[in-house]
Amino acid sequence: MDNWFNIIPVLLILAASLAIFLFADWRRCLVALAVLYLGMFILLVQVWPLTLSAVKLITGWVAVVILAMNLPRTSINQDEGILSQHIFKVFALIMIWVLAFLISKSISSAFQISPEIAFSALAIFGCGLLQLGMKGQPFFVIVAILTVFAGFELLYASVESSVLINGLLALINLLIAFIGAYFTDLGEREDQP
Amino acid sequence: MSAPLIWFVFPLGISIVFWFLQARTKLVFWLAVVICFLLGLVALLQPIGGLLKIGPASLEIKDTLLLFGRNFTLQNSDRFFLAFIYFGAIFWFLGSQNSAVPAKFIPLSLAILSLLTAALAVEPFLYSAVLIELAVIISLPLLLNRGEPIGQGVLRYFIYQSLAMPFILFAGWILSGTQANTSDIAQLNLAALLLGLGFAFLMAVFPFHVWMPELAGETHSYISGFLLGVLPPAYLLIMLKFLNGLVWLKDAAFLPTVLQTVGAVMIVTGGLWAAVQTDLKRVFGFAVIMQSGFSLLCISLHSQAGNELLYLSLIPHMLILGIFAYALTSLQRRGLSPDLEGLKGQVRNLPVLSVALLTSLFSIVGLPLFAGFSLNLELFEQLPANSPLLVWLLVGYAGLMFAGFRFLIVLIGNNRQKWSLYESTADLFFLVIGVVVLFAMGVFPSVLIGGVWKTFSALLTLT
Repeated sequence: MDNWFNIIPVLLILAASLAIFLFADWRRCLVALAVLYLGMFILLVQVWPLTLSAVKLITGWVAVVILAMNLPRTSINQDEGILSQHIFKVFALIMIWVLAFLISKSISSAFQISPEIAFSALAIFGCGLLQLGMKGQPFFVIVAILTVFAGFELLYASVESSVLINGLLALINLLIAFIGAYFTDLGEREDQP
Repeated sequence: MSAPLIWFVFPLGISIVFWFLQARTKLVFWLAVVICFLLGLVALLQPIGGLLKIGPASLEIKDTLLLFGRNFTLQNSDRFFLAFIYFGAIFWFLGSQNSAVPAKFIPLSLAILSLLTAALAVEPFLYSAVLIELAVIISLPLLLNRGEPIGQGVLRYFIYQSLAMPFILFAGWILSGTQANTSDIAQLNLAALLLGLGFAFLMAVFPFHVWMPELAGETHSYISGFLLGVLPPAYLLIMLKFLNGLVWLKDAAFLPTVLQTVGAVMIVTGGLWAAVQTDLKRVFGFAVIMQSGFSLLCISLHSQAGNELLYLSLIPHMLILGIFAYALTSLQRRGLSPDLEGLKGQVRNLPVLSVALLTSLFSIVGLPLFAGFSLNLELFEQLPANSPLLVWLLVGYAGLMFAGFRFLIVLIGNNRQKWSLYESTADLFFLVIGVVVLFAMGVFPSVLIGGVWKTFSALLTLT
């Protein structure tokens, strides 16, 4: 790692992705997602202009807010499950991080990007994929898709600086958040007698 | 005036207007039919780059539109796609009037079609992945209705379609860097792999196919029919345009083998899974997978005949799926479950509907005298003789045929009721016309399939 300061955003991202994966509470999950976008911003600002990086951060936070707007009216799932379930999830995520670490070297040299960005992006992407495979509730699926896209965008931003493509990706993130809010709204109406 | 303005911006704008006019369903329906007819007709008759004469005035139709710094280009070779998409839309809109679809069906469908057109037109092509993702996101409110649970099929549809975007974008980025340097084999192979993965997610290639039968099984049959009838062919034509633009990939030695293998796997898995289904809606999903496999096999032939067969098959395939989806919707409107239990002896109550279901199913199988027969026969003749591939394809189609006969036996089973005709007049109108056309395509393929193709190809100067 050339820049030792980057250990802070990387740790922030790892902690946030762990929280997204572990928490069954919707609010905590969204806070973790917001932290994840902050960690991404700190890494992005090193390869992109501040304004463009800020767009990513703001888009991510707006997506979080859109999802959060529907939460107060819906029931909050308490953390459930047994300790072994959490241990299994932590180990699964650690395996993903190890895998991300192992391939980040070749990815960073192939795409000529910094290893910490490659590792963080792959770790986020893997966490999202793992969540997509293990959680079936609409809200968590939406959060997982946003997580996958966050990982992808971190990697992609390092190689593609087109304003239009990144604007469209931001639009897609917002639309996914709207769809998530719509899902939550539908779920809430289903619960009503 | 530019072609993308006519076939992408204008319908997208109209779809937004329709969204606000949803309550006036009849007005929206007739306007949508007229607009789509005009768009299809202009695509069929008006060469891009030529002058469109309206009375004394004349408009030059340019092929490129500059939007947000990007080129959207539609050429004469894209006119088949445009005519197919917009005439297809009329077909689906007509059926929607009797299928109890929500009022948002027409506005959102039109928006999806215009975004797919934009995905075909945008340059560089990597942007098409983003536009496809937008179309998928717009399709979600169409699949979800208030008071109905959000099923796993809808979620998986969203997941798999969304996962395609990162892979295609990365492939596009690698290709943009290596297009000038085709000697970098490792990078090109990586791009091909990512592109293949992206399209595999989009087109429900095994093992990423689970969402398709689930989506068909748990959503409104007509809406899922529209999406599954429009999206895979649109993806195929977009993919074909990519391939034609990437000479190194088009001429790659591995491509025909890969496409053949993938196409055959789709037909075999689709057929075998269909054979064990008890719900006809899920069989519909597997039938769509098999049709996509058929189309990939056509592309794998890497010849003029293969391309012609692909184009030839698109119209009959859409017709078959439309009739299948309409019949399934009609069943559900009557409160009947389209499974083995619910369909028992229904040929006595709903004879025309039962015949329509079986005709569409056997048309996909390609039994003699049904619409798919000549297409499947042509494909089998074009594939290498003595190839083990043919045996696998027969296994797949035998699986779907087994499913068809299974439902035939259930439908003609004796439920101790008298013969009657409970179908509504509108149902009879649509279903009888549909069944007659499917039979006519099977009996007179050179007239109804070949003839339509010849007319299309002459007007579009494809041959």
